[in-house]
Amino acid sequence: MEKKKILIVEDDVALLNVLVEKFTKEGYKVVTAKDGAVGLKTAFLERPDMILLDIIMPVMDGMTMLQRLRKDEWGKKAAVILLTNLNSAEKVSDALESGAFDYLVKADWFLQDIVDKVGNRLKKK
Amino acid sequence: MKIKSATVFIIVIVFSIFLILLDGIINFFLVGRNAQDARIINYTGYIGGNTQRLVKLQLAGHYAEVEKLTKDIDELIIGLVKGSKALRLQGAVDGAYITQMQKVSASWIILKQKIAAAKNNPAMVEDLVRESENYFTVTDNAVLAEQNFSERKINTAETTQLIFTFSELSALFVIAYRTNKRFVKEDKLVDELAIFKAATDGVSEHIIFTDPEGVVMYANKAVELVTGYSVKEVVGKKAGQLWGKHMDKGFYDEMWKTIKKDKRVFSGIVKNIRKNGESYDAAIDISPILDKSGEPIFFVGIEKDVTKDIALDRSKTEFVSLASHQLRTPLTAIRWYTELLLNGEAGKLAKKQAEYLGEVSGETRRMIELVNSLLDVSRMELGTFEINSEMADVCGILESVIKDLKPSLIKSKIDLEYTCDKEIPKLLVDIKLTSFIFQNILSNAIKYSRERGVVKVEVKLLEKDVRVSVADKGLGIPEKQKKEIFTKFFRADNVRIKDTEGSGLGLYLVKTILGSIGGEAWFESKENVGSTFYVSIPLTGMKDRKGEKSIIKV
Repeated sequence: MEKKKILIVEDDVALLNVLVEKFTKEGYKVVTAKDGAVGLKTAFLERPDMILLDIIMPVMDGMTMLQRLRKDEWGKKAAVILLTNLNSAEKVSDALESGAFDYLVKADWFLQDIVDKVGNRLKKK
Repeated sequence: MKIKSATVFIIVIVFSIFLILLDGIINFFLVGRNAQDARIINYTGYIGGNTQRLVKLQLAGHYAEVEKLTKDIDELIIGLVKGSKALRLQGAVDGAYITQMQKVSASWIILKQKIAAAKNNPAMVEDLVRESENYFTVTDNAVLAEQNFSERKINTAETTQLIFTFSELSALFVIAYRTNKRFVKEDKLVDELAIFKAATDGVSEHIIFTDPEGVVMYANKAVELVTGYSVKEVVGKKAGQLWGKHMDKGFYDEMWKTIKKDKRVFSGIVKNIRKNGESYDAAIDISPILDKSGEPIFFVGIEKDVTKDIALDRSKTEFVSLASHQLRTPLTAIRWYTELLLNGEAGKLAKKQAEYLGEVSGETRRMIELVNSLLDVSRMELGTFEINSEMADVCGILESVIKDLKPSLIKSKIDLEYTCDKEIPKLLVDIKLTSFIFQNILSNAIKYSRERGVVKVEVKLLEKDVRVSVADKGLGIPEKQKKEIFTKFFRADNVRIKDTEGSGLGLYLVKTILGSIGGEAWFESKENVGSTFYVSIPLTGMKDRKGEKSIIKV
């Protein structure tokens, strides 16, 4: 089975490392970016099967990156899950309007459950 | 010539009598028939001449009206007939005396203030004229009054003139305001007034006195500094007409009900706008002053600008919110790395290692819960939480919460009995908030119950609300600590040992949420016997509320 590619856009190094660790172990090919600008470039370059996107990041934040992504032909259909520590109802509806599949507050989730969620989403595609 | 002396005598007598009679007749004609007129003579000044008599005659029939209007004021009133000399009616000059400061009718004070304000404002003069056909103002004749009043000099800094018209009579009254300091010193009553004015003008709080309809009778200097409007602009208008009226109608309805109907002090925080357009927050206290029969005769309003205080409080809450968000990132890292370790993904763990890591994991999750609660509390206090209501079955929400709590019910070996009134209609509620409230109350009941205890949950439909009661036979709440149960971070002494989890913010949030939707939370409890907590949701449901964030985790 071909490995699914996953792009993780996250500025906190500790979190980024553990996410990379886990998803690699689970059999994904993982690419990363530490801010929205690099994330956008990497997304277009690598065309991942799933993007895990943080919101608060330097240079370009997650919501801006998502909006820009959606303006692209390929980007319009890219699978995105927002992974953030901000909980804001406004942001959620913005996110869902921009076509993110989910909005998860990192601190409230087991890593395994996030992995499972990603897996389920990919299966549905 | 003997007979002559007798005749002369008689003639003299008769003539005297005639003169007396004539004098009487003359007086009679001149001053009219009423006993009151005698008073006019006593009252009036001594600028003599025929004019005086003429004035007396003309005023005679109307003196009662004039007296009614003027008897209760302490200012000097000089009557002047057009084109003639001054005629003092009432008042004092040079500190001789002041009439008693009797109970003054509010409308007279307003009238005076209006006149004072109208002195330099032609538009206001027109307003006054329109208001009453009985008076209007003129200027310049005050000087005339001063010059013509020869008996004593009137040293006044300000005068305002009114013309009262009573049918055929036209008289010019000068009301001289005693503003010259020389008079103030000699008069005790004016002294007290001056002290009062100095005192109220010296405070930084805005103080106003209004009549029972809310029209401003007096405003201190701070009113100018706080609102930007001058005392002159404020007096005579309804309180707040210029700077207030920016709260919703319910606020003002509640205010009037409290001060006028309930006759109690009203305290609140309002948003006002200064003359220059700047908005500010003020803490207001309005006290009704009642007469002997218990009716308000005037209101005293005191306002303090608390914009800075509120801003400071807000920035503190925002800081808590920001700090809490920042804490989440490292907490997430700890949580996930611990998870990986516990799953053996970094190598097999010895029993003790797994055990200790389990503790770390649990404590980490506890910290995350605390951070979440801090964020919820911040949102409540900043007013940024959202309510999204929909028609929902309250019992259904409760059942769902109970289902989620099944594991802890089993663990604590608690039996849960649950009944729900059949006729409870669907209510307009925010499902997440309602679940949060139920989940909180229920988990407390389970937590503080004895092992193998019973928790009874009842949902009843009452006249104006749906009442949920959760009764446990657990540890109960000590009498002395009952009043602190709904406060932040509070944990009663008798449960502190048992309960190490949870943030201590749950009940505070429950009470605050319910308070903001018109509901209520309360309890009955006896130590070592048990507690029953009640939640009341109004049948009108929860009003939708726009906010920045959802209070419950998405």
